[in-house]
Formats: sequence, structure tokens, C-alpha cells
Amino acid sequence: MADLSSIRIENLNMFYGVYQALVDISLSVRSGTLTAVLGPSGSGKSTMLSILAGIHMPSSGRILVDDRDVTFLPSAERNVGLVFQSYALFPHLSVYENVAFPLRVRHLPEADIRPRVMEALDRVRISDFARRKPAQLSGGQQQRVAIARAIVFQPNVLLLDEPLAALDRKLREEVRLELRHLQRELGITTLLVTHDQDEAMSMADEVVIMSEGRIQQIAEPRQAYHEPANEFVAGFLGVANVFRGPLRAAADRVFIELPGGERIAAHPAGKGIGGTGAMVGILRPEQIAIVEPGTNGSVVATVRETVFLGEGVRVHLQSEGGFDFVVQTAQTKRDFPAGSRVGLAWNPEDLWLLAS
Amino acid sequence: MSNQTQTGKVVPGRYLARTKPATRRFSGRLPSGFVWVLPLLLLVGLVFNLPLLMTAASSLVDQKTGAFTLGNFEQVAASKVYLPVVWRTIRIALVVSFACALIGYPLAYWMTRLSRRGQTVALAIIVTSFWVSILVRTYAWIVILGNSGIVNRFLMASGLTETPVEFLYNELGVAIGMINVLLPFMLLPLFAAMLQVDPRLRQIAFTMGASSFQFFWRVFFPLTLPALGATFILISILSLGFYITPAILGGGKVPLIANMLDILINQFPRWNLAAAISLVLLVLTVGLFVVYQHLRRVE
Repeated sequence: MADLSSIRIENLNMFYGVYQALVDISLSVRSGTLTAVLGPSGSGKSTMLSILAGIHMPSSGRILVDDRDVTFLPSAERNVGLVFQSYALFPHLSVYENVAFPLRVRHLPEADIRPRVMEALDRVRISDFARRKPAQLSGGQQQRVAIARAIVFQPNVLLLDEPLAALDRKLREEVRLELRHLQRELGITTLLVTHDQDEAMSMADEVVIMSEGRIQQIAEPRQAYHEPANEFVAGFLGVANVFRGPLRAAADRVFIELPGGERIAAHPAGKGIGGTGAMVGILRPEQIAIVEPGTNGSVVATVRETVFLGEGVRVHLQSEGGFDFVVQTAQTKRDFPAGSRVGLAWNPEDLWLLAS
Repeated sequence: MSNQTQTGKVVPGRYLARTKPATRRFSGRLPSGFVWVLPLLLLVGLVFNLPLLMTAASSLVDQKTGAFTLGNFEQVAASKVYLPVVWRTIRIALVVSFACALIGYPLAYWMTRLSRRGQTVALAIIVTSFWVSILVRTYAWIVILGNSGIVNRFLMASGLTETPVEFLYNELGVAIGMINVLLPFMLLPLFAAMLQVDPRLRQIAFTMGASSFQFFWRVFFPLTLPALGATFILISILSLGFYITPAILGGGKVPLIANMLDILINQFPRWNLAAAISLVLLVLTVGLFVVYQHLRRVE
């Protein structure tokens, strides 16, 4: 395997005319890890990938791979493997020849090409289809060929542009695991661009959340989910209850006072940001428990609607002060009839506080 | 199922009154609506197909006796006049098609690399050539290629040649004129086919270490080869029937099949022989058309 390498992006800016697609992007990917760049469409994540692949040149900034400046190197000299969402297989070539392409353009002798192609095909378990043309394969199989073709020349870096978006849900989850496994096995530094937070969370060692050309947060998936850097990240990574109001203290308790009068309990030390003043508190739906109304410290709310998810039940409730709560519970067999009054409770330590 | 019954189910009630009574299953096997096409089919049969059959029939008739004969075809095959014209037509068609491919392919490729605005301008330039009549364009070549035309004056002024080059009234002149007329028919379909090639293939080929040269020969050219083949055949088909260009730029010295037919019919009326030669031309064309259709399917 090629040397483990790391990617470093420094102060990358990209302008299209007056429109700035990337604003001062800096990030690094540790050797052998998988980093997911996550963002809605138009967030600049694909632009970043195309700059890394050498398809576009940045307006300013530097890209280093293994401390080598590749910013203005042509694609062919960067030694990066790229997988597009559309796979971009060569339609006139067989599976075998598609995978052999990177080796053939390097003028490798035939004797070297065959074993390497077969090994790559074996790795993605597609060797039985070596003689087929891309049009004769299913979407999932084409995707495997695209991956085999991207790793066969032992690139320093693997770039994946929405590689699973064209697959149906069940297959996507399967391939996700396989791809992750393959990446670990090869130990290849990988950058995955996606708009699917499940994909990013389940595959990545680290996620980079982008919006409007800026990096919003770089963190491990768990941290980004529970300790989002801002409201955008909180909202983008799944569902969040967002409480806005001044942080107050009474007796030995700390809470956010909602406009409707409810007190949202927070931890005295205040996870995240301390101090008082206007605050934003964030709680994930599964961090809230549904308890008997009147339980000490709980907020009273009325059930509006329940959504059965299979692995859980999502309950939409409204508090007496008019705040709309979303709660998710694993109690799938329990009934939450609309209109019933319940109490909502959580561990105050779970409330993540941000400056407003 | 006919369309009427299906739409009858879907449209709201107030429209139902207007739908005609179902005319489905008018006849056991004929497709629905056949009755309405019938007049057109008759027209096509009467105006196009019947004359063709009559031509074919008259090629098998002796002009003097009116009896059935294969003599007309024997005469074409044995003649020192007619067969060479057929061969020349085929030869010029091939030369013109090759030249159009050689000029047209790089030109179309260059167009795909232009900006969107550049492509629009290039297409506009190509299309405007259709606005000028073939007759006018062909006469223009006489002015350009003549002994004191701009090309010969340039060649002599630059010292490349002492005496004027004979461009006109030979196969070269005819070929130049035909290439000029037919090049747009090469460019437009080729350009359209090249635009179909996914631009990502280029990007991904480059990331895999391919040079522009390797991308072109290993990916782009093989992908556009069926289109090139199909357009090549198309140009050949069009070349076989050329009349005006060889008549003017050949000055009567380079007759092609169409010119020969003109002579056979208008100078010394030999309709049956002309019919036989027409049939040869028709068979050639249909043969090429079959190849063309096959290539288009590959594409």
C-alpha cells in the first residue's frame, strides 16, 4: 500500500465572478482516516472536492498532500482516486478494462496489470462481472467498479463525491459498511462529500459541516451531534429542540426562561458556554423522557401528534407556554394519545448551551 | 385498449360528453386510427412508390420491342461509358466522405471545447451556409478556383507554383465543391454526438493519470467512432446523387451518375437504360442506408 498520507487545506477561497463559493476553508485530514464533508447543496462541498481533484483551480489558498504542495498540479500528477456520484464509467470498455485504465495510461506491462486489476475487482467482489460492459450492470455493481478503478493505482488519497446517493436505501446502508471496511483495510486517506448526515455520521472519523461556503464545525460525529457549534449544525444534523431565552439562576438551579414562562433546566456549570444573558439551549429528541405529569422538575405538555418510525416513536408536543417539543422514545409499543397531558424531563447536563 | 376509453375514465364528467364514441377494434389487426392514415398512405404509394416500381419495371423492358429483357443491365455492366461513371461516382463519394471526416471531426471536436457562446457563434456560421443556394456557392468556386482566381493568384505570388493549378473541370474541383456543400452535414451530427459524451469522463480520466492525448484515443474517439461512421455513410449517400456541383465544376468532363441520367433522358431518350442505371444507384444507396441505420443503433 502507498504511504499513508494526509491532506491539508489552507485558507482556500474560490470565487465565481463576484460569487464566493468557498470562504477561507482550512482543514486537515489525518493519515488513513475518513473525513466526511457534509452540507446542503450549494454549501461549496463539491467545489472543494473538485479543487482537491485538480478539476478546478482555487482563487487562493494551498492544498498539501503529505506536505507536498499540489495546489496547481494537474489532476494526472496528483495521484488521487475519484469516485463520482454518476460513477462515470467508460461505457465502451468492459469492467476489466475500466479498472485497468489507470494502469494502462501509466504504461505498465500487461503482466503487472492483470493481477492488480483482479485484486481490485476481488476487493469489491465484482470479479465475476469482469467481462461485462457497464450498461449490463446494476447501479450497485457499477458503483463497485468505480471504486475498484479509483483504488487500483494505489492513490495517496481517495475522494468520494456522493458515492452512495444513486443507490436505493437498503443497498446504501450495506455499501456504506463495505466502503468503510475497505477504507480501513486499505488505510487510505479518504474525503467523502455528502449531503446525507446519516452517511457522514456512520462512516466518518471526523465530519466537516459546511454551509454557504464556510466551515461551520469540524468534529467527531458524536461530538458534532451532541455539541453542535451553532444552530445551523444542530438543525442540519438531525432534529433538535432549540430553546431561546435568557439564562437565569434561582436557588441552586440554572435554567433558560422561555417567552412562555417555562423553565428549561440546565446544568449549573453550564455545558458549553457559561455566564448569563440570552442563550440558545439544544436538546436532542431522544434526550427527553416522557414522564408522569407533575413529576418534579418536569415540563407539562400536551401530545399533538405521534409518528411511528419503526425503531422508535417521535412525539410532537406543545407545552403550556406554547413551545413545540419533539421527543423520540424507544417505547414503540406505548400509546401516546393526542391531547393527553404528560411531563417532559431530561438530564440538565444534556442541555447544550450556545451564545445567542 | 384504445386511447379514448382510457381518457374517458380520467377526464372529469363534464368533458365526457365531448369524447367521441370509442372507435377501438375497428379492425382485427390494424392499429387504431388506421382509417385516418389511409389517404396519406395512398398518396405516398401513388406519388412515390408506384413511380419507383414503374422505373424498376421499365429497366427490364427492351426500348424497341417492349419485351422483357435483362439487356439494359448487361449494357451497363459491359459498357466502357456507363460503368466507369458508376465507379467514378463511388470513388468521388468515398473521397468526399473521407475529406469531410478528416476536416469535420477535428472541427466538431474543436467546437465542443468552445465556450457556450463560442459554440452558438460556430453553429450560426455553419447554419448560415444553408442560406446560400448550392447553385450560387458552386459558381462562386469557379471564381475562387479559376486560373486567375484568388487561390491561383496566391499560389503564384507566393512562388509555390509557376503556372496556375488546374482546380476546375476535373475530379478535384468537383470534390472540393461537394465537400463544401456536404461539410455541414458532417459537422452538425458529429457535434451533437460529441456533446453526448459525459464531460466527467474527461475529468475522471485525468485524475487516473491519463494525458489529453490518452483520453482522446482511449475514450473520446472510440465513443464517437460509431457517430463518425454513421455520418460518413450519410455523406456517401448524399454524394451519390449529386448533380449540380459536378455539372458546373466538372464542366461536363466529370459526369457522375445523376449527370449521366440527365444525358440519357434529355439528349438521346433512352429511358429504359436510364431506369437500369437508376436502379443501380438505388441499390447502392439502400445498401449504404442499411449500414447507416445499423451504425446509428450502435451509437
